[in-house]
Parts: sequence; C-alpha cells; structure tokens
Amino acid sequence: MTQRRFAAILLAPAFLLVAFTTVYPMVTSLWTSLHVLNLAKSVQLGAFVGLENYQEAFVHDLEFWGVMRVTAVFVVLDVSLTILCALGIAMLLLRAGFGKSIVRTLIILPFAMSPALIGISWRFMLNPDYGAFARTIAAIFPAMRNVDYLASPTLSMMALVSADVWHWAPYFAFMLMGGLAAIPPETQEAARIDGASNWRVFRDVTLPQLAPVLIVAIILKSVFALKVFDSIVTMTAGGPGHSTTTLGFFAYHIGFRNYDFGYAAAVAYILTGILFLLSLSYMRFAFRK
Amino acid sequence: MHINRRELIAGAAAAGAAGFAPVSSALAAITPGKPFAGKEIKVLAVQSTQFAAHSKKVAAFTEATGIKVTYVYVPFAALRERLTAEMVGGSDDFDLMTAMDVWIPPLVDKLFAPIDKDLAARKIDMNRYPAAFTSAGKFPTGTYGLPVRCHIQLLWYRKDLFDKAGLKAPTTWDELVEVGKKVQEQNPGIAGITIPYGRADGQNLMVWYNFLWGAGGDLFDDKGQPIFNSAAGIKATQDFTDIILKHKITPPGAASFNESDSTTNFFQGKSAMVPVWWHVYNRLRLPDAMVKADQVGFVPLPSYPGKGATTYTNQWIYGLNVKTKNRDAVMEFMDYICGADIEKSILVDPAESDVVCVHWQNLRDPQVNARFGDMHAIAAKALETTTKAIPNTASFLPVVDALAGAMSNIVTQGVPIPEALNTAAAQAQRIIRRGG
Amino acid sequence: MTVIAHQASVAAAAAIRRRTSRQRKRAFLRVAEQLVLVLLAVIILFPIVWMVMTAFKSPRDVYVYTMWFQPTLENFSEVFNPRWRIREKIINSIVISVTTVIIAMPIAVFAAYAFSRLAFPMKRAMFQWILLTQFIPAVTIVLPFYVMFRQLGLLDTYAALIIVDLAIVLPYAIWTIKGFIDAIPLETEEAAIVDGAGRFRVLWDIVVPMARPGILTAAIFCFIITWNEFLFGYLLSRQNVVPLSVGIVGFVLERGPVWELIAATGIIITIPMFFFAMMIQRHFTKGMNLGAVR
Repeated sequence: MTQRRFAAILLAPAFLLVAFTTVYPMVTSLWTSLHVLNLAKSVQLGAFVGLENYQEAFVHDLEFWGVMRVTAVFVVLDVSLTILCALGIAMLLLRAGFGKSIVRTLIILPFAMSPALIGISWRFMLNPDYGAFARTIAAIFPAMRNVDYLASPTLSMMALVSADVWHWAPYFAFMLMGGLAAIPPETQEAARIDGASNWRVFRDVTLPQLAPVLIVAIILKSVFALKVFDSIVTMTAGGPGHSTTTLGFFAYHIGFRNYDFGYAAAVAYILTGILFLLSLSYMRFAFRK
Repeated sequence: MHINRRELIAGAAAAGAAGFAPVSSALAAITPGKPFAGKEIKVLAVQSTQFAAHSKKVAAFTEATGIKVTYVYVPFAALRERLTAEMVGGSDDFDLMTAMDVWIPPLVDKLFAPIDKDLAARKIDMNRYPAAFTSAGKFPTGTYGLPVRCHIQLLWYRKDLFDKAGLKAPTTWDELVEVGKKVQEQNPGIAGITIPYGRADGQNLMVWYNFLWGAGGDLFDDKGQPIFNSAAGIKATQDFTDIILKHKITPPGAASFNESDSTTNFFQGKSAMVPVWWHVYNRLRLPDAMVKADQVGFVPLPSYPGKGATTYTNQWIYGLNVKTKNRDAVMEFMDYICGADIEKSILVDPAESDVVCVHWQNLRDPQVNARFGDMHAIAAKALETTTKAIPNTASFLPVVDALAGAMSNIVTQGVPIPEALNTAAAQAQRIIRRGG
Repeated sequence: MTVIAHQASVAAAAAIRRRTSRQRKRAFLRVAEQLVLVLLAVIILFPIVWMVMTAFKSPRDVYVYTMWFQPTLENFSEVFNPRWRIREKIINSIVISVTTVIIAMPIAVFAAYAFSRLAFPMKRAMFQWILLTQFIPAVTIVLPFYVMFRQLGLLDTYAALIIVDLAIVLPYAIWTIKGFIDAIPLETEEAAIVDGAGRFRVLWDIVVPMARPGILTAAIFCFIITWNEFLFGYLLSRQNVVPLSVGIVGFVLERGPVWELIAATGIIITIPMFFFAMMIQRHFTKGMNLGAVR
C-alpha cells in the first residue's frame, strides 16, 4: 500500500463528514446570500440580486458598522484577557506548591459549565437588587451601589467578556501549562546563571519557546470569541442599545428574528470572510515553523 | 384559597386526562354524529397553565367526537424559532398552533390559513371578543385564528402604602409621577414605580406604547411609514423616559430590567407600582408571596388628561396550519376549545389558576369577577376605550428591534430623544423598504 | 590565621545577610503567591457556590442577597417532576454525547495520524481546511441544515444532532490528537515497519496506546462540547431528542426565568462534566510529562 493510498483511506471518513456538514450548508448559504429570501414575504428563494445584500450591510444598514466595532472590541478584549489570565494561571500553577493541586482541580469547574448556563447565571447575579456579583461588589466598593451593569454599554461588555474569560481561561491555562512544561528547564537555568532577571528569563527564553503553543491558543480563542452566541442570548440579548451585539448574534437576529434570511446569510458570510482572513494570516504564522 | 406554588409556575406538560369534567354547553360546538371520528390532531402550544388546562378538556371532546387530540408544549423562549422552523419546513406535523401577536404577520398564509369560511359556517361571531383582542389575527386577506390567550396591562399598586399616605391610584401620567414621588419619599428602600427599560425583545416598549397612543401619536401612518418620531412621539418618549431619568422614581437596575425583573421587583416589595399584564395576579396568591393580595390594588393604566386609557395588549391565537389534512376536525376542536364556556369553566375551577379571559361575556361574568377581585371587570373597562393595537405588518418586529435599541440608547447613553427616534425611523424605513 | 578567620567570618556574615534578604524576598513572594491562589479560587468558586445555594433556596429566598436561608430540596424534586421531562432530556444528552464521541474518536485518530506521519499532496492545505471549517459561524449553516434534515426526514432525531455535533468536534479532536502523535518518537514505529508490521497494525498497536492520553483528552473535550452544545440542539430538536443543555430554556416561562429551577438543573447538567473535566486535567498533566520527555 502506498503512503498516499493509506492516507486517503485514513482521511476519507473525516473528510466526507466534514464536507457533508460544512460544504453543503456553506454553498447553500452563499447562494442564499445572493438572493432575496425574506420569509416574511415568501418561503421560496426569491430573485437573484447579486451583491445587493452585501451592499445593504456596508452602505445602508445604520447598525452594521456599530456591530463591527462591537465585535472587534469584544474579540480583542476577550482574547487578550483570556490568554493573559491563562498564562498567569499557567505560570502560577506550573510549579508544585501548597494548595496548588486543589486550585488546579478547581479551575476546571468553569470549563465544565455551558456558556448558556453561565450567561443566564451572570444575568441573575448582576441584578443590582438581589444579584450576588452586584451586591458583593457594592459591599466592597460602596460607590458601586446601584450601578446597573447591564444598562451600561461599557459594563455590560465587561460582564460579557468576564463570563467568557471565566469560562475559557482554565482550558487555555492547561494548554499553556502543557507548553510551558515542554520547555527544557536547562535553557532557563542557563539564562539565570548568566545573571538574567526573572522577567528577562520569561521574556527572552520562556516566551519565544512558548510562542507556537501561544499562537495556537490565540487562534482557537479568536474562533470561540468571534462565534460567541449562547452567552449573549442568555445574558445581554445584545443590549443595552446594540452595545453587545456582535456580528454572529446580529446575523442570527436578522435571520431568525427579522426573517430576512438573504441579508442574514450575507452578514454571516461577512463574518465568515473576516474569520477566513484572520485564520489565513494566523495559519501562515503558525505553520511557518 | 391556597394554590400549590408549583402548579402556578409549572403549567404545561400536565399529561393525562385527569380533569375529565364535561361542560354540557361547551359541547354545543360539536357537530352531531361524530363525522370526524378517528381523526388525530396535534396541537403545538406554549408552556402555560392555560394550555395545560386545555389539554384536560380534551377527554370530553374525544368522547363526544371520536377525534384524538395531542398537546405538545414548547417553552415560551423557544416557540418562535419553532414556528419559523415549521413554516420553513412546510410541515403538517402540527394541525393547530399557538402564536403571539408580533410573530403572526410573516406566518400568514405560509403557516396559518384564513378561517373566515369556517367561522361563518360555524356561526362564530368575532364580536364576542374585545376589538383589542382580535386585531392580531385580522389581516386584509382574512381572519387567521381565534384569540385564545390575551393579556391586558393593569397598573398594580401597593394599596397599603397608598392608604397610609392617603393617596389615590393615579389616572394620568402626571399623577403617576406625583404619587410615585410621594410614596418613594415616605418609604425608604421602596421605589415609586418599576418599569422595564431594558432592551430585551422590545419589552422596554410595552409601557411606552400607552404613552405614545395616549399622546395622540402612532407607530406608522396610513402608508405604513414610521411616524413615531413626530412631535407626539417625542413628547410621549420624553414623558416615558423622564420617569427614570428626571424623576428617578424607578428602582436601581430598571434601566436594564426586562418584564420579569420589573415584576419581580414589585412582588419583592421593592417598588410601589408596576404596569404589567394581568396574569401576575397569580403571584399574589403564592403561599410564600412577600406582598400579599390584600396589599395590592389594580386599576386601568393611566393616560393623558381627558383621554381614556389606550392600553397595550398582548394577544395569542390558535392558528390553523395551512398544510393540515384534518381541517374540519381541527375546526371542530377549535370551535370547542375556544368557546366561552370552556374558558369560564377554567376560570372558575378552583383547581385551575389561569386568569386569561378573552370573551366579553366572561370578562363581565359575576362568578369570574368574584374569584379574581373584579380584575376582569376593571380590565373590561380599559378594553372598552382601547382601539389601538400594534400594527399587523411583517416588518413590525424588526422595527420593534430598532425602536427598542433607540429607547435603550436614550435611557442608558443619554442620546437625545429626537436623534434616537429619527435614527430608529430611518432604520424602520430601510426595514420596511426591504420587507416590501 | 586570625586575619583569615576574621575575613572568613565577615564573608559568612555577609552571606547570611544576603541569604536572609533573599529569604525574606522569597517568603514575601510565597505569601503573595498564596494570596493570588486564594483570590483565584474565590473567583472560580463564587458564581458556582451562588448557583448551588440558589438551587437549594425556596423561591422566596432566591431574590434575597443572603448566605443564610432555610435550605430545601424542593427544587430538585420539582425538576424531576415528569412535566419538565428532565429524565428524557438526560437520556437524550447521554445518547447524543456518547455516540458522537464513539464515532468521532476513530475517525479523528485516523485523520490525525495521516496528518502527523504520512506524506501526501495538499496535506497542509487539507489540514488547514479542516481547521477552517471551525471558523464558520453556526448561524450561517443552521438554516440549510434545518432544510436538509427536513428533506432527509432526520429532524428531531438523534442522527441529526449527532451529525452536527460530529462536525463541531472533529476538527478539535484531529488537532488535539495530532499534537500528541507528533510528540511520539518515530523510532518505535519505524522499527515495527521494518519488522514488517502492517500499517493498520502499527497504528493500532503502537501509535494508539502511546497517544492514549491525547485521545482521552480529546474524547472528554468533545464530550463536554457536545453535552453543552446549545444552538443546534435548540433549533434542530422538537420534543423527542431535546438535549439537557436546551432544557434550561424550558424554565424561562412567559413571565420570566425561574431561577431556582434553572440553578438546580444547572447543577445536574454540570456535575458529570466536572468529573470528566477532572479526568482531562489528569491527562493534561500526563500530556505535559510526555512533552517534557521529548
């Protein structure tokens, strides 16, 4: 058996499945995005309109650019905070120490919870009146009494980000711990013997060697962040105003709430396009080594 | 009377034919001779005590007609997606489906069939319902379904606090602000009124509609173009948002409250008034309620001076699937289950707790009113003067979304009212142009 | 002599001083580290503890900010009341998640092995393409899926949800397992091939056992993702195969969410995932060692 044929046999099931579950709906969706499909008017695919649905987003829809900005802010905040927290946790928990194995077990808890459940719990706990977060923060900082988190664009964004970081940081912490453990300790010790400070050792020795794992983590987290959906639905519903409406939720809203599936498909494709571009540049970087 | 808390909360899914209690006159709707015996029909209903009660009426119906009826319940939060999916899929899985007002326009003719002929044949007179309860199913092309679950807003207030301060329930918005301020001053920790100002699915517009219509404004003109940014609309919005921004008589958190947050706040005893649907009546009867029934009064919603209350209503219909193969059997069941007698039998049944009532006859029924502290009579009064309801166009729901965003921006981000409404109107025009 | 002794004692004193200052610094760092650890534990536990407490609160206490209340089991017994159909949803979730993982793992191991070890044209492009499918937002594909499953008569069946979940988990599984296979030294396989073992034999007898921590990690990760999947379960199921994760929505009634029941169900949903996640955590550590050996 040639290597090529063996590879073909091994890859066939995965390929068929992925093709069936993505290529078909993707093509259908692309086709839809070039047509009128407004369920309020007809269940049947309407006239071919070329790029009109895309034009609608970029030119006519007053909310679109705001949504793009919200998406960018969310992704940047969410990815950077998650990765920073994960890195911090990984460094903290890597070496053995008192209480660390307990915390190492504990931090897996948030990852086990579903984002939809986290979102709904956060909403419950951010109620300024009886919410556990709101009241506890108010007890520590009396100036925060009566702050309505989900009514403030900044704070509701922070709330959404915090829920996502809480959920994902543990998973990425484990991923980075794996990466850190794979770094030969000799390199760090050598640098230390040369008199480098802890910070220099981290920056010049640890970080470059961690880079491949870090990049993979960033790619993965960006995917999760751009696709965030469940927690928005259950926590903020995109509000206040449109301040937590990200592109994915926006597309869902246009389609399933407003029935304009042609336009929704176009918006979803714009999101897909962004993801595609981002992922290509990431991958060029990730696969360079 | 003591009701099991869980019965109230749970509703739904109460399987079996436990409540076999035939109501003789209700069977008047039934065609003699069991012409549809052996047919099976499936009903898709929202999870609620009312439809759980309906399913208990099925046994008597099956007995009399030979038609089998199965209820399938979907939680409120998932029902709209389900209806969309049924429409897109073109399925006949369900013969009869419940749908809420704003969801209906896109479903017309694609999921729901007009039933005017059947109504005429069966001599069902739509005038048995208040006009405000029939608008959701009425379209230029016909009547799509019968009203079955309608709610009207009432102003619920803390009678004990009002009595203590010698205050009367307000009848105008100015009075509402005035008494709200007084109650709030006198009772530290209790806000004057709780209103949902949060964006969630347009729930921050529920109370605003009453301001808008009261001020002589409307959402759209005759040509279907937005006019909510007219002078009347701006005044209504000003008065509506002043309550939270200027008078500050709302509880902390109101700017992000959805309907249930707001209602909960009132029933936690943390605010003195709440404008909300009549179905919250049941919360007062919970054995562990913090605010007891005798502490609470209710009146029609206030309006502007000299105008009768034009109250926003929430309407649900039973709609007939266009694809159904059992049309006559379904109509037979609809006729039966939507009858005034069935409704009354549920309303006065001590084992049931739902307050929903859509027939004039039952709204004014002494027995019904005796059980619910005259709530239905008070609601009837508000319904008599209510002529407006939300528009029946497919583009309305997206417009609600734009408006809800605008309202939220006004309340949380200090966007000037005319600017916010004009933006929403421009967005609405775009949506209407696309919706065709 | 004395001079030397004196010099020695001075040097020793300086060394001791240096050591104590270093010790002090180290002690300070250790305390700071412990504080951070405690803070981390609090941040992790706080929402969970609150949810657990809510699940044991009577409706009256749910809306009160307090740690002291009369605990009740009523919420749990209510959640299992047949009207909420939670038992069926638990079974649905188990069937869907277990089947998905059982199907996904061999497929993923095959593909990961091919990507890791074999040379074939377009290898990199194909690997990237599989990863890229994860960049497709679910909203883009859910409606075509709906229509497709409707045509195939698969709506509201286990098959539909399993197929969709497979598409979601496969790329992650392939990626994770490939990483573990990459870390296995080539020599053993080469030796086996030289000995004339068949390719599948090598894969099954040598690679799979060595990559077991990776496969387990991937399997559990996939199980958790499937278990918690929400959007597709929400839109592609009706009443027969509604998964537990979507069951939460059943407690959002027309009048609003019933927090205490949501919390109780949340605990039921989360506890098994917690145990699985702890298992991954152990294997994560094994994976770490594996990487360190390399």
